[in-house]
Amino acid sequence: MTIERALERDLESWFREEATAVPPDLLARSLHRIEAKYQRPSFLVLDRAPGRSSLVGAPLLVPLVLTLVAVLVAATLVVSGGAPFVQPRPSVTTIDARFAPEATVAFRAHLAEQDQLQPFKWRAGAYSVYTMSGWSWGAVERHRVNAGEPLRLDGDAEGASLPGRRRVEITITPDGLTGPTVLGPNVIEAIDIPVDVVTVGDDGWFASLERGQSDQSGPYTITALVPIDRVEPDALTESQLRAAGTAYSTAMLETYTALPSGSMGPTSAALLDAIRASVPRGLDPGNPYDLARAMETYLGAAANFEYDADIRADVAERCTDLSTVECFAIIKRGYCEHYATTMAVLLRASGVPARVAYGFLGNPNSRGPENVELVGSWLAHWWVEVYFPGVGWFEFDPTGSVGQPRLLPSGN
Amino acid sequence: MERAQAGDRAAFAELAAASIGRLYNVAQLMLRDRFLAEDAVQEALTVAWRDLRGLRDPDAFDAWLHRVLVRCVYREARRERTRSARVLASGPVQELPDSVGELADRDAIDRAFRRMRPDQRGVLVLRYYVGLSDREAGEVLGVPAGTVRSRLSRAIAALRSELEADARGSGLAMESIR
Repeated sequence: MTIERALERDLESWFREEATAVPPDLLARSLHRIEAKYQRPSFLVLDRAPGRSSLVGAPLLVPLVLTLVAVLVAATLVVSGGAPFVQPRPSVTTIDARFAPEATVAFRAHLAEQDQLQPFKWRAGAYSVYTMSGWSWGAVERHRVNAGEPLRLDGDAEGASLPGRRRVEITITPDGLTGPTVLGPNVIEAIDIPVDVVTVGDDGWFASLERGQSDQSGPYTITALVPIDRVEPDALTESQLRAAGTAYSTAMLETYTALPSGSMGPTSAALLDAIRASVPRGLDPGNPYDLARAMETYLGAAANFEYDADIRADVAERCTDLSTVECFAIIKRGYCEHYATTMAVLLRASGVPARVAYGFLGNPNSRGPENVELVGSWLAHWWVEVYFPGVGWFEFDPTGSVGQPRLLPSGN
Repeated sequence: MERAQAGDRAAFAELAAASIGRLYNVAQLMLRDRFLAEDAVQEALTVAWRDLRGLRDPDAFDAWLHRVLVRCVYREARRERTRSARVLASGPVQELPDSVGELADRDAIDRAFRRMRPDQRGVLVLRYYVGLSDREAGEVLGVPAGTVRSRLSRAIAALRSELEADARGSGLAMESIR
């Protein structure tokens, strides 16, 4: 055997040894990046006209179809937050280790004059099931609602029974954000286009909203009931949330306090203890509102956790086989996905119903005299919603640096 | 097939899913850095999505996708070089070499491979990892098969001389310690 041939053989076996498994979420991140970057595709046409070869058709797929395709099909369900890339099916997401958004405008929101000063988070959906490596909507149902009809999101916590809220009207014009998902603040009451309401559980808790039209790019106008957070007689107050009590239905507890075993570890348990100890004197760590607020403050404090959009090296080095929450508690760095996941899981472990909401942060500073808010793709965000009986789902935002906690008048 | 027809993005996602394992390994073998490889793969899929319309021959999809990937890998390699003074190769051998054994050989190949240029690594990966013929590699690289053949023999020769230099270097290190 020549020296060259021996070297070729060594190289072949060295390559084989060095080949590794592809990171399981790389596909999802790639698809998400495409989603954020490009408008609705107009060119990848599946040409059904007989006689013309389609760009994507049997002759192309046959050589590429592997026996693994069935497994890989499941992988196409995995997206990184935001609007699902593949429609329509339940949304499942894995928690990433790097946040690298595109610099595009996702959408614009036109608000009424009197709402000029109020910031909103733009919610795309909510996850109810924690999967250790990510979240999913859960087992959902869809029902169609005609334009203008009440959506009745979140079961009993809808309509005029929501205390401390006022009605706002907002027109959303999508730009870089594509797909059928309809956005709006918690909680949307009605929309001027037909939509599919995606809900989980018999009580119809919110998972997402999707357009029921073929054209998914035009503007739509929502009316929403949002908490009054100014100091007004009818405002939602801390006292109200503190007094909401813990009379949760069995279904609520089963859905929104459920955790797979292994979600927590020793470090995250110690973190929960530290948070309970940080509840201010005179308040009660057993009270869901006081616990949630203390948790939001503790996690968001730079002294405790550091905001970092790229923790791949830390995760690779220190988090093998650990759940997201334990990992975050150990490395103490991360971005919204980690902050929000940790808060939701710690609350669930404390018996408080909580879920992860995803969508976009508000950008109220961008509202000019026209009252049009410009929401960039880089504002994609995860936060937490906590259920308070008689009040509904109220948001918390534990992310450091960029989080926007929604503070309330004390009500004393 | 039905899913491919159900939505164009679903079809693309399936194509990407079928190729991504190999794309990733081509990228990480060429770049010797997993994070750069992830960037290259993401960029390649983004470019593939953008340019898929210009692909006239659907049967050439696989080669075309790999060509896009190789371009993205070269771009990552250039970016990495300009970003820091650190070259993608490891430095000279400091530690004592192992006695002759598989581990030493693997490290030696790794060191020598890292010293090669990205385009040299590319042709070696396409032939000896992906297993492409000269013609197929030529389609990926956009050159005739004959060019692939001569690039391959030059790359093998370069790898061989890097290995010999590496072996000499470790010999010198041993001498200086004595």
